Amino acid sequence: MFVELKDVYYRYQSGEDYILKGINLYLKKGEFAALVGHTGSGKSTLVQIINGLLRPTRGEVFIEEKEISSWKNPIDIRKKAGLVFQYPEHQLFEETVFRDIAFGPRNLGFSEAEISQKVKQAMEFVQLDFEEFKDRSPFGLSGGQKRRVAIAGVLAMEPELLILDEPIAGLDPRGRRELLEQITRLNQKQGITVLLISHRMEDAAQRAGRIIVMNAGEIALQGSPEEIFEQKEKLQSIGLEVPPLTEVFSELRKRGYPLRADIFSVEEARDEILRYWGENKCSKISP
Amino acid sequence: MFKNITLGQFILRDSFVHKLDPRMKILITMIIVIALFFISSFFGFLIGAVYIGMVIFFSRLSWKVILRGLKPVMFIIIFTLVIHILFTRGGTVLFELGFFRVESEGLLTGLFMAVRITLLISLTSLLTLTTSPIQLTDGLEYLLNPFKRFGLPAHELAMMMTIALRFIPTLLEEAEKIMKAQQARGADFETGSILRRAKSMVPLLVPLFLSAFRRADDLAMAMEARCYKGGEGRTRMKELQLKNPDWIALAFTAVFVAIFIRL
Repeated sequence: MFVELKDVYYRYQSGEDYILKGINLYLKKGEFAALVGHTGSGKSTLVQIINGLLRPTRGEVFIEEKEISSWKNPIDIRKKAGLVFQYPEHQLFEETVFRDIAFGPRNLGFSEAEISQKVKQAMEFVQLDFEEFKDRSPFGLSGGQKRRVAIAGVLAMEPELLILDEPIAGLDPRGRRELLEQITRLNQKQGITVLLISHRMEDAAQRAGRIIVMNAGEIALQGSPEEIFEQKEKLQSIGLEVPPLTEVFSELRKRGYPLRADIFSVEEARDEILRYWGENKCSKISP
Repeated sequence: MFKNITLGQFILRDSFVHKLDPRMKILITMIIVIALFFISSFFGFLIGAVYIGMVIFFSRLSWKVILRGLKPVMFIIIFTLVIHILFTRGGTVLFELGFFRVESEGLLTGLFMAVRITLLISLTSLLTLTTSPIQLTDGLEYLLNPFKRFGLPAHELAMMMTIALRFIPTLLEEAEKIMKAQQARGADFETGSILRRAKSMVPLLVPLFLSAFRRADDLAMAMEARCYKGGEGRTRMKELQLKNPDWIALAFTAVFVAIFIRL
């Protein structure tokens, strides 16, 4: 197991209610998992615990089988698990894009040559042209570009686990799609383990191999997207909706059309419907 | 890190002190603050402490809250005391070791100052603890009104104060968030020399200022969208009115001040 949480409880002050109530969670190396839940369900607190920014009130957190309170230098945890906060572009501060992205690797103590190479690579991952952007002020960029600079700032630290807290919030549809594609590519090509926090079920279902649903400080459901969406009632009882596409397909299957259950994008849906259509040669539309 | 700041905090209670007119509370606070500077004996300070103790009692606040408010200024109080003990000369020599010499005058002035600051801080924090920011600025606006004649923008000042107070918790929260984000990028705010630590504040302060400006812009826009045009012709839902308890509080204060200035 790459990351493992055992019975983790967390509260800000003694006497207050627990924000996390007995979380048991694991992340396998190289997987793409999504953490879904309402505002206030404890998602952000949970990832800060994985990253070592918060210490659990009770329970243990293991990264590569090592309990993180036994890690002397917090920097070592940061090297393993990179955390991109919500609206990360609000944390940009340097004069140039290059220097801002270099902030992380510099703190980790890399040499100038290494830093330069890591920044270049990080910018490549998020598809920002190195020569074009490196000397520009991050404050003069568009919202989507700023966000990518901020994510590159974490990627440049070359973490093995990348945690992104609502990375697509506030972006336009195109920016959303591009960013999600970049994250998926990082996972598939670079083998980086990804934990994506989102409150949008669609994004989670399309990209992640496993969905973890949180509700009121507890893990409510866990499993592959298909398994999660089968429990429609439970999802609705905690106020989460099944993506419309999934709903359409499950309704179609209920009426007897033999369609696949793991359809999470419009393209897949189109292909699946055309396949069914083709197999039945338009002759018999109703089952 | 920022959780213990009680400055400007308001705690709602159903008490005599809470119900007083804010103008009267500001006025009384000013009177006592000035009086505290005129006290020249420990007995006077004792009476002053009794007065503040009674205010705390009538405000139904716990002693702990006041003590917590004193924590951040503890350093200043101790610093004042130490400086006076070491450098104020006069009176008899109480203690001597090498070039350290403590003289009675120094010890006395030091203690005086320490008690004075403690009382000042407790008193002024009592004002903010028992008066909501809105009431406080309302009161200030009324009190500053006479100076409008000399071109003082009383309403605008009060509005600025309200907004500033309103954003203290927001900015603290923001600071904490940015701090965590930079820590996640390996920033270190806690160790190193003073110079290094000052430098490490840049990644915190730049985004913080930016967000403050952004918020200010948004707020100005939102206020304008709701046709805010300053104090001219502005009416209020709750007019301030002086009632009997206010006069009782004033009389009570006057008696005390008379006693402790005399002593």
